[in-house]
Amino acid sequence: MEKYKMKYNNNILESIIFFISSLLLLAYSVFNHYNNKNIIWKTSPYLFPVMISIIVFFLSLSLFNIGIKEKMQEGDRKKLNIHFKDVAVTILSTVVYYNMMGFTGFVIATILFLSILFFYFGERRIWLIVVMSTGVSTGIYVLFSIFLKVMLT
Amino acid sequence: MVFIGAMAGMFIGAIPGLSVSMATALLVSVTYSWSTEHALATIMGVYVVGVYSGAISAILINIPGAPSSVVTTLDGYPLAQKGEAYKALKYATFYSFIGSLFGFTALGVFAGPISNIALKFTPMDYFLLAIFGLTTVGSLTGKIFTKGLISAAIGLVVSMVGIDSVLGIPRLTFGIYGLQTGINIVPVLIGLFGLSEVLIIVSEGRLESEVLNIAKTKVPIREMFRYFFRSLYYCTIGTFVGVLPGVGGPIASFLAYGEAKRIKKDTPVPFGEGQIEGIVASESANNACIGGALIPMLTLAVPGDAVTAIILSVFYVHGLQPGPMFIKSNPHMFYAIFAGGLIGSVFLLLLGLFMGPNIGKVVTIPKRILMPVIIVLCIVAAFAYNNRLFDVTLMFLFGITGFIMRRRNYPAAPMILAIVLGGMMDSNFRRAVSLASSEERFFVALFGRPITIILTFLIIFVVVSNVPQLRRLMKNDH
Repeated sequence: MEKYKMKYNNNILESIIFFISSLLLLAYSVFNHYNNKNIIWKTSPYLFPVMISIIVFFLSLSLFNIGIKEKMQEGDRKKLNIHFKDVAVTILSTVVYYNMMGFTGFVIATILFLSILFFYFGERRIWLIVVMSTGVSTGIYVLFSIFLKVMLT
Repeated sequence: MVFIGAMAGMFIGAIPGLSVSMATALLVSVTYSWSTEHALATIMGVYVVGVYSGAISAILINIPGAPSSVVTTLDGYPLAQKGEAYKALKYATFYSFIGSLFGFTALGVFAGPISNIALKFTPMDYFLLAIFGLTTVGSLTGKIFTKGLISAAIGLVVSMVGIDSVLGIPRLTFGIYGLQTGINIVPVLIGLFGLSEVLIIVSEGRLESEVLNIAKTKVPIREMFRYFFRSLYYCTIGTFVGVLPGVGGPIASFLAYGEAKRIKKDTPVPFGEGQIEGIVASESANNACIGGALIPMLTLAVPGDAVTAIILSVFYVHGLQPGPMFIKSNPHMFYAIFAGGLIGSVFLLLLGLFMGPNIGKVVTIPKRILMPVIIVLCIVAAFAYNNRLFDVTLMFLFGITGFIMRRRNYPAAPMILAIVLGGMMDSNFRRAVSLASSEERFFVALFGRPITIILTFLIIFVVVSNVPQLRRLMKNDH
């Protein structure tokens, strides 16, 4: 694995995100509480969010502390081999599949989705791709739509 | 009828996204025209076997079939990765059976006395019990305690989305219509454990490798019984937690797992890397919880968890009134549930031992075939729960969130538990504050009771014992 020194510590970045989020949650809760008339704090639906925002505030400081300690002790990091392209293709194809269902119906959309992903992930036995995609699509449709009365398109 | 329910529960519980709650809800309408005894017997079969069979997918593909099987993934999946999936399934089956039997025995013997103790819990006690559960979970899962707590805090924020149950005011909905009813646990579960698992496997490029084989390994009966007496302790935890309304299987299994970790400190195989006792604790407790959850449902008409809430509706649909006089006025109904549960436990053992590994053959399918199928199942299952496309969107978003969380070492389990408990925590906290504010001494009213003091000390203990400096000190002492 490749080794490299990180310019930024991820824990520090995350702690900043959580710090800002806690302040935003606190502001949102206080603003909405006072925006609603005739609500007292002890029964306010924003009491619990205020508590959570305070807890996250302190947790973000703790995470910041952890990030600082890590940065001071930091040696060379191992670069992980992450297949970002495969993840992006999976996410994108899932979004397309989900949107396509409304136009082509569940079975056809699923057959196409499964066939494409089986092929992309490395399956080269065409007969298996056809059998599995058709069989799985039909099986899921029968199970959910007919037996469980789920309204699939 | 119990067998039909048991078979249905076996498949439904094992498939991630098909929840026992969903199956039970469907059965309420399907069994409407049946006699009450037949309806209850079928539902008990689904309930008992469905809770157990969540462990099958938890062990084999690291995706819990139900929230109460989340803890089983911690040690079940690592064991499966070592080629001991069959052994893990056997232990899960056997101790789920023990847990179910224990829970139903407790139901039969202790219904009255346990209800009296549960009645003494105040809203503050429920709130603190949930906090204790979250802090324990945050310390058990994940390498950094802070990250576990942050994950729990995110879960609490997610649980607050929707219409407030006390005042009916929308909270954190930002004008989005789909969020008015809140964020349902099922799409979150499917996204965090289903879709994110697929994305993790894809990101690590593990599609080419063949999936684990389930080699049949013989487990001697003496070896199987090695954990029997400790499992009775875990069953006790599960039963007691089940009695507390609204708490349920997930927290029972987490608490039992925490106890197992505390009792068995120096194990040859660490917890989280395939320690059998982890599976024993989780499965004993979550199945014992079933019997416990039925106690408040039958005696107080207060459901112990989501499934018992649905079972309660079966009673009303059939014209029955659960409550303190139920057992005396309708003993045959009580015995129908009791018998259905016991018979369901026997079917759990038989189906689990003979069918479990066969259902698990799904693991031998290569991942390049399995992962796309799981994506389809995730989408369909997320939609099936409420017939809402919005739930599929939520599942997708939580899937990506889960992927990022896992890459950054934020455990998902505290988040799930927080979402399950968040609503209960919120309402109980406000109730506790309202009640205490009418007393002269506010803090004494809030924290002055023995149960409350014990729970407060337990929470402080868990938090303090996870401070890194103190942890190092404790390790040096040993």
